[in-house]
Amino acid sequence: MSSMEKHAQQRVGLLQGTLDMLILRTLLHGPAHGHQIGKHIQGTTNEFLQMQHGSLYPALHRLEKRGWVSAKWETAPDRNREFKYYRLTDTGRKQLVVEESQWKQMAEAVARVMWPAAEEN
Amino acid sequence: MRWWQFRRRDADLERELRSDLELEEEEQRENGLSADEARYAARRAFGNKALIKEQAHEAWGYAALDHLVMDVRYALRQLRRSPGFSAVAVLMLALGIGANCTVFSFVDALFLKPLAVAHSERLVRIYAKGPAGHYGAGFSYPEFKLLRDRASSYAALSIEAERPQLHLVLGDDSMEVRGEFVSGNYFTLLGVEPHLGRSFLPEEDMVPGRNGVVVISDLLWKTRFNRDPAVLGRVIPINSIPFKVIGVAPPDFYGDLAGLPVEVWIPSMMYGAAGYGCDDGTFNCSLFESMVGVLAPGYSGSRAQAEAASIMVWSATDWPERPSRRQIALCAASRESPDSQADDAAQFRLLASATAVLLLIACANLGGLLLARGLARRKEIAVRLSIGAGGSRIVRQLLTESLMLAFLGGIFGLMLSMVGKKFLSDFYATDSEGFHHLYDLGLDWRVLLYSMALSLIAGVVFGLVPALRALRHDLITDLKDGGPLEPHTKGWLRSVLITGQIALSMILVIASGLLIRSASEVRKGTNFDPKNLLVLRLRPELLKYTQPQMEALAHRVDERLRGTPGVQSVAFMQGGEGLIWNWQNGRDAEVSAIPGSRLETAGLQVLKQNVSSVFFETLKIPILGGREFNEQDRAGSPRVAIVNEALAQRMWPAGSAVGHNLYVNGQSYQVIGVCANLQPESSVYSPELHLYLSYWQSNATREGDVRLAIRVFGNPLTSLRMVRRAIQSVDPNVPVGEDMPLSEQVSLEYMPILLAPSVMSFCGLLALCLTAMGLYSVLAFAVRMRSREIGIRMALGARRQDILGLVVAEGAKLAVTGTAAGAVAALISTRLLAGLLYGVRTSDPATYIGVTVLLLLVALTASGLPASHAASIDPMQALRNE
Repeated sequence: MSSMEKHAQQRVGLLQGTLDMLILRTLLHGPAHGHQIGKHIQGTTNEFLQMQHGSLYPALHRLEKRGWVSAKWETAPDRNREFKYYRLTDTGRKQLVVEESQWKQMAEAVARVMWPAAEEN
Repeated sequence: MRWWQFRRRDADLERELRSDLELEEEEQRENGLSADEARYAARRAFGNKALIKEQAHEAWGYAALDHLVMDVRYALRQLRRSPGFSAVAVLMLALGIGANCTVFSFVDALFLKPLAVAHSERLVRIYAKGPAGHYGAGFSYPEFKLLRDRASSYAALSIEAERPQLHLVLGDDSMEVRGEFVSGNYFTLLGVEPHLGRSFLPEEDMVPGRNGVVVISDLLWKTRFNRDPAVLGRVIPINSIPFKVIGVAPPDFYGDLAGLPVEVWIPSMMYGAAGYGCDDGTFNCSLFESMVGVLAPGYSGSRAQAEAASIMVWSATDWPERPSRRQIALCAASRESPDSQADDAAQFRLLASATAVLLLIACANLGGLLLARGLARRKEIAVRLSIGAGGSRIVRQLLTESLMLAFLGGIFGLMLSMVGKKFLSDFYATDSEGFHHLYDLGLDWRVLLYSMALSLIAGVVFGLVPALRALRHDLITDLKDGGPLEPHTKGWLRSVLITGQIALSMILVIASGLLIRSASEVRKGTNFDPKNLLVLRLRPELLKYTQPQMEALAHRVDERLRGTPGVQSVAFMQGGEGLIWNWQNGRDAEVSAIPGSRLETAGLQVLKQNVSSVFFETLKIPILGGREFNEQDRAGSPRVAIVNEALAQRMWPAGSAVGHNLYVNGQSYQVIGVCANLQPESSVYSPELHLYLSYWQSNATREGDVRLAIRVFGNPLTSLRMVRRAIQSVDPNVPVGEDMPLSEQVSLEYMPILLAPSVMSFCGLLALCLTAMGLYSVLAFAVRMRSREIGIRMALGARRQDILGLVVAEGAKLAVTGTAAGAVAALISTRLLAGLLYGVRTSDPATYIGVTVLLLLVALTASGLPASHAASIDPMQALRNE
């Protein structure tokens, strides 16, 4: 296996974990389709997270397979068309709590290393 | 999620992506972009659609399937791209796998298929093992009763006696049918329900000779009664006793032994009445071959055997061949008796080894072809590696290709095995006594699994090495369109493969050579002449003829036949179940040179046959000393005997045997002649001791069947009808059977020895073809790879014949190494054939030399084409191509 391939996989893996959490958090507001989720994440981060919408879908399907979200084709209220709407399940809600706390722990750990002085003050 | 949901999911994903993409496009348009710009922007925002799909598949856990589908598609494309190669590969594998499957179908039918009865796993068969180690020593009825009434290890027990030659008369038609005498509970014990009528009632097997009832087989019902339901209640004479048909067995039930289809089942109490009792009309002597039983819950086979052995009290018998020194032997009720299982196992081991070697050769050959192809495809592989395919992906890809080939080969092989099975079962359909055999050769999951497993193994064996090899090339050189290849360093593996193939083919061809010689030796007859000779069997004992009636019949038949035009001479013989000529047949007797001695230490065990006058003349058996029987050797005149050479040498090693006296069961006989051994020379079987007594001085009623040998002018087959008619004109009632030319009987009797060479030759011939092809392709490939070198040689002044010699020498080197290795391997491995070889040694020099020459010639021919191709290389062209 080439080293490039390995590198690519690591990057995806890192993103995936975060992306999952972001999706779950987004769905906390209520059901949404893929496009809305993407738009929401991009909008709230002020376009900081430059992600391609495409990467959302494998993540959504993975979450669905794990039972954290459920999916259903529904007609959008503003457009007279059907979209695939995802909504958070109960286990998904629990998972969000877990991921959130993990993320927090990690962020704190990273912060402690990066800004040790701030801690001492 | 199942695979068929996969498509639906994919469609769903597709729809989702489309709807979201359209939305994005609309939004972009609402932002003021033109339609085209909006579409492109949307696509950009989305990213690579194929990648999304692939990642989604991975999310579903379908990546492996995805890769497999891709690999299979790619492999199919590759195979389609070189149809010639694919066809040859599939054909080779099909032949190899087909041959193996054919043999396995028989192994399955004989050894593996469970009996088609209820609780076959708890079913056991009990045999009495004789002192010589064979399982057919048999039980007497009181012995069976003892076990049935006292043993607690069996939930049910039935006695069994199989008689293959019951005489059944239907209208004007008489035939021999295979019958089994069984206890009243036989069918309930096996859980077999007749599909018409009923099976036996318990009271129908209580009193000797009282209930003449019979259950017939479905086959008999179909072929002889036109499936007429009115057969129930019909009375049919079997061995001249009326039997009432009470039931028809289900179509898939042929009795509990493979290959020996039972046609009528009769209660054991009718055994004596049907003519198989002891002299006193009872059946207390040991006559039943086996018992079949169901183990009681909680009992193991070994425990049941121990119990049976402790209970059994062997009754004394007055039949010398049914000795009282017997042992209980309990086996799981398989499809064959242990005796025939041992014979058949040896036979099928041989056939299976031959076909396995054939498959091995096919694999080696394909391996060589794939190695060569791997070199030819190295640019393609280099491209795939350099654009990021992992090494394991490449190996998996190449393996998929070989597995595809292997499975295609397996499927065609299974089809070919249908033809093979027909061939083999035709061989086994009739035995030397004219009885029919039937095997359940239907395709079952075992055969399917076996063929698939073979394909898998074959695919990995011939595919893995080339696949691993494919990775071991230098990317850069390969990408630069086939840099120079040094065949001497990279071709060794192919050389080893081809040498191995030559060696293996050598073994097969030598084995078939030896077997062919043995078969022709057996066919032509050893010290007897089977040409222009008819044999047949009369069975007056079934008509309960008395001694004078039997002798009168023999006389009149003899007289009538001798007066029939076209008949040269007539002889007859009596003696157990023996064939008229066979060195293994005859009734056991004890012979001594000391008067009155019945001690086993003093006596010799011999095979005894009673023969008429001119017996030796009719069969053209050489008389080595003295004279043969004549009309004067009859009851009342001095008792006389003829011994074979082996017995003469054993009893009177010094001097002539003629004139000496010998004693059989205390009775004195004078030796009047010594005849040649009828046994073909063998390294395994020592010569049998044979004793011939005069037919007119023996007890004809005791001996049963009379066998006739009739020497005719011209083709014996055309005289057969006439001879039968002549006998019927003497006595229309006497059952006639086993009627065939002696040469046919010899073939049937030696069937394993005749079958082995045809299977072996088939494998040997294929192996030769494959090897020639393999050698050709290796050399042709080498020539292609070395064309530049050859060009340089020619440019430097090498002549055409030098180049020709170069390539042929290469081939010769491989062939000589291969044949040498093969000869050594054959010397060792053909020892396994020793039991099948008559009149030829396993190290027969003529065969070895002949086969070596043949193989070298084949190798030379196979090298000729590439050599002439090499010699016609244009040096300018070859060099310019670089």
